[in-house]
Amino acid sequence: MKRLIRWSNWELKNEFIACGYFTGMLFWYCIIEIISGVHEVSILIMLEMFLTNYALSTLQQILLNSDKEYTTKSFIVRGTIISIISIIVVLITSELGGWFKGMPIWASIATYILLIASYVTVWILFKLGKKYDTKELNEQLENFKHHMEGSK
Amino acid sequence: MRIRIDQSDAYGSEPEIIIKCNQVDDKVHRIISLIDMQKKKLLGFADGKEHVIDINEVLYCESVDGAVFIYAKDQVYKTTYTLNEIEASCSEIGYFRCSKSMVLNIHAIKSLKSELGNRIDALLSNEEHIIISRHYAKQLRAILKEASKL
Repeated sequence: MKRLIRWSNWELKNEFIACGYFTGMLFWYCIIEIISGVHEVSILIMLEMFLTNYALSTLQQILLNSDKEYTTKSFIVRGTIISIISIIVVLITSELGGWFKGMPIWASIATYILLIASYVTVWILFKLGKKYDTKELNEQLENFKHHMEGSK
Repeated sequence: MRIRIDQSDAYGSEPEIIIKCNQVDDKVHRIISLIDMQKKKLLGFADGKEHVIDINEVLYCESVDGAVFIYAKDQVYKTTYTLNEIEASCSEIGYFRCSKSMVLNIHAIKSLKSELGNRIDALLSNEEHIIISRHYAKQLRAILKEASKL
């Protein structure tokens, strides 16, 4: 029973992440479709998008399990592997599924650039977030020491 | 062991503790250690001798193979305290449990660095790095945040 609960929690989280990625991907796809003069999206393409994102979120959950702890090096390696595999999988799936069939070449190029840029942005935001967190931690540490010195 | 408390106004403001025993054994050492902790000192053993360690000199205390060691600036001492006792008695002066087997003196931290995975890398005054895991990092953040509010 515990295993079942643990699995369902894992699966719920996985689907939530997959839906998030799928929504982002579909939103971008709709924009380039509208720019290209197309006002509908194939249900088959949407299914392929969702399944692709589900596979990628599963990979992410396996490689970066939120219940486990990783060293910084391990975290970077796993994150990089996820980013590279995700880009390759989306590239292959979009070509095989004909997502950009009938659309100008810039549509597919822009999508792949956006995908790469989004991963790079995530890493940059991560680094900036850690930098800010470090600064805040050290300020709080100094305050703590001053406060304790005063009360000794 | 009998415990007797003799209370009187004639004894002045500072209590005096007298231990009557026929032999200073481990049990008596332990009692002395616990009492010493109240005066912000720790009792440790090194080179076959007993040492009274100023709590401010301690970097961290670590449990290794069932024994607890006090790591001070220049020396490592073995002690009869448990980590739980050290943590319970010294938490109000800046000691905090940073892992299952370690209690860290926050004052001994030179700087902190936020690491990936919500861990914290603490650089101590002796240039040693202690990695505080996600679970304990959360507690450290709470302690520091609490102090910042005051």
